[in-house]
This record gives sequence, C-alpha cells and structure tokens, in this order.
Amino acid sequence: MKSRLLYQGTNSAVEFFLNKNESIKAESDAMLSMSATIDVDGKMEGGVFAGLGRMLSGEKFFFQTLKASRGEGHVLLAPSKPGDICLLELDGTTEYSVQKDGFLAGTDNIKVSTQMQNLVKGLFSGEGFFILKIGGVGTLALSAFGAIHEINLAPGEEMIVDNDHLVAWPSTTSYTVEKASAGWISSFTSGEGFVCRFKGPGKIFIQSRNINSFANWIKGYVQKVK
Amino acid sequence: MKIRLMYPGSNSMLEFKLDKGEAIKAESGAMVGMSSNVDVEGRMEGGILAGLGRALFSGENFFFQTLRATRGDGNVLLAPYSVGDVFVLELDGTTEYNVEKGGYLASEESITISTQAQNIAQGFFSGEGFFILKIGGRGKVALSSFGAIHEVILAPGEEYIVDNGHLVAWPSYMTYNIEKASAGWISSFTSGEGLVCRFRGPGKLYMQTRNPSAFGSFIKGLVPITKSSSSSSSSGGSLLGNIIDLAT
Repeated sequence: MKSRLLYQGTNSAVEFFLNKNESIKAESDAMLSMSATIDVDGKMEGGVFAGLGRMLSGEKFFFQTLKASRGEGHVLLAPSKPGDICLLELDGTTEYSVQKDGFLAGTDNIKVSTQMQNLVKGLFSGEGFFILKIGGVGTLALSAFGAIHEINLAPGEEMIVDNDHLVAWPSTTSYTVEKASAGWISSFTSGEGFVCRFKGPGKIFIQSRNINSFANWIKGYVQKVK
Repeated sequence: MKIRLMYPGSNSMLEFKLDKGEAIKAESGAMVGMSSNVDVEGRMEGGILAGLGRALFSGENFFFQTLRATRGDGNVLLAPYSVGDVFVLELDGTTEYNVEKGGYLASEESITISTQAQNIAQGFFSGEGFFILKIGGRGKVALSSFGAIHEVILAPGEEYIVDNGHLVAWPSYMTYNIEKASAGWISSFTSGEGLVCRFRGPGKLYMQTRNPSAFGSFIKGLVPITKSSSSSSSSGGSLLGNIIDLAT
C-alpha cells in the first residue's frame, strides 16, 4: 500500500492507495473522499475495545475500516483539527503510546489498543487520560494540532514536555509526571501546571499548539457575541 | 542566546537556546517543551506586579513566567495559543512598542514590560477592558498573531487606518485616533467594520491577518453553549468538543 501527504502544515490530508482487498483503519469521520470501490465499515475491532476503552473512561473511541472490496482504489483522510500529519513506518519492534486525538489512520497490520493511565489520570486535571497503544507492522498516520515536532532523546537525556503538547512516544520510553516548577504556587502562576519528564533513549512527537489553551482563548470571543 | 523560528505560518513555534544562567520571560502557559536544565519560575516581577494588580481589578489576566537555564545550557520551545505566526522584533532601547495583550509571546530578560490601560479607548472597544502592554529596553521580543503578521511602514505624516481587531503592535510614540469606519454611523456598522484606528506616521505597524472576534462569531453557531453538553465529552476530543467543554 502506498500513501502520500498532501498540503502539509495546517491543512494536511493523507491519501492511501489500496490494492484490491487491502484495508485501512481510520479515526471516526476522517474520510474526506474515496473511490467507489471502497467500503466503509464502522465496526470496532475485536475484544480489546469492547470493554476497556469506553466503559472505564467514559470516553468514546471509534474506528472505521475502509476496505477496497471491489477493486483497487484510494482514500483521502483528514483530521478534524487544523494541523499537520506525520507518517510513521512501524517495523514490529517498537510500540508507540499515542494521545487519543493523535491517531488518524493505520494500515491493515497496525494494531491499536486502548490503555488507561491510572497513575497520572488524577494529575491530568480531571481529563480522563486514556491513551492508545499502537504497534504491528505498517504505516501509522498521526495528526497534531499545529505542527508535529520530533525530539530524539539520547540515552539518559531528559526532556520536559507540557502534557497538552504530547502526541506520541515509544512505549518503552519512561516518563514521570511532575509539577512544572519546584513550588506549587509557581507551577500554577506560570500557567504550566503539570509536565511530563521523559528519559531517553526515544523519539517523542509533540504538537506546536495546545487545544485547551486555544479553546480557552477563543471562548471569550465566542461568548461575547451573543 | 539564540532564537530559531520553526514551522512559520499557522503552526509557528520558537526555540530558545539558553546559555547557563540566561533566562527568558514568556506568556503564561506558552512552554511546549524544555531541557531538564531549565527551571520554571512563576513569580511576577516587582514593578510589574503593581500594574498587574490594576489589570486584575479591571478583569484582565496577565501572567508571566520566567524560564531560566539554572543548571547548564538548555533549550526551551514556546508556542502561542492562537493559530498563527510568530515574529521576532529587535528593540534597540530607543523605541518602545505598545502590544495588544494577546500579542506578547516572550522576550529576553533585558526587555521591560509594563501594563497600560487605554482609558479613552476603553469605551470604544466594545466593552472589552482594553489594556495593552508597553515593551521597551534592548533585546528581542517575540510577538504572536492570529493569522499572519503583516508589517506596514508609514512615512512621516502618512495616515493609515487599521481595524482594531487586527492590531498587534505599534511604536508608543505614534498617535492614533479611534473613529467610525465610514462617514455615517449606519454605514459604519452595516459595513461590518464599526470602529477603526487612524494612525499617523512615521512608524512601523504590525497587524494580524485574522480577527479573533470575527472568528469567534463565525464558529459561534457551531458551538452550542449548553450546560448539558459538559457531561458527555465529545467523541475523539474534537476541536469543537473541547471548546464546548470549556465554554460550559
């Protein structure tokens, strides 16, 4: 299967070229257009999703499957937010943890499961913090609010990332959640609150915009005009 | 200190390379990522505090943070909350700039920042407590915009009209008047422009190609503000879903 990125940057889309009987998984409602040979299937994947994801967290996470049932075809996909898409080739050795809005699509043999981050859940300010664990072999399309920035950490190197800017990180890269500043008061007056401290080696993907900050900013302009 | 602009355009982000001991000031919440050598200090500076107090009484929030490479060299990534560009302005100590409050992203430690209430304009700016920042000193200041940043250079005596929702920064010595967009009151409002600012050169103006209020009213209809929507968080955490959650 081939794929290509279109309109990289704020208005990105991705095109997958499917041979007959190939399929891709995609985030719910991500389909922009497709050949008439493609069938959409809304069903959720096997056992993994049935219970865990939705019931524990109260979050919804649906996939769709797009399959070239009647011959080869192509599918155009776009994320719901303005921002970039990044294509990752997974070889089966590395699993990635992906923040729930970061998954756009994956080819047939990409495996997606949900995982609760119980320890940090409370710390992540009341947001049901559940993440996706993505492995297998094939192409994975990640989407970001803003640009996607890649950080390569050397072994032992530490880096601090604001939790709202996280997109994906290798499941083997460890991190801890901590206050942004030494003191509680300055952690909050700085506006940063909690951050994640990652320890290399590993490749971390972050996004250049924060949906919560953006929403908080635009909120004032939406409410004012009544 | 070195500054690098990444992903210019809608998704812009700045990287500051700090030597040991160097620090930058940044808008609250602007930190995306940083080396573990960098410390976040939330405290507000003495002189500014008084101004901030006044700002708080007028219902405005404006906090800084200081990011300091305490334990060695380090990097800091900063991004604005709006969707738009970042521009680095170099101040030489002779010119102060007035910056609309959403327009400040970060600055070197040597840059001074104070708040200023625009009392005369306040009433005109549609009930919004219009307070601005006054930025001076010598060093680099990073401004952010909603959309692209557009620069206009005015010759001495040249007049130019800017919609108030599109203003980002202008030299403090420049005078401007607020006036109706059109000769008549009715056409001022039917044109959709309402009130505008008339600037007089010389000077360099910075404006943004998008208007937050116009965007707010554009998406307003798509974002129903109802209490009930907060209980069921939206599927996939879409952009509008997050706005709904925060708006309720």
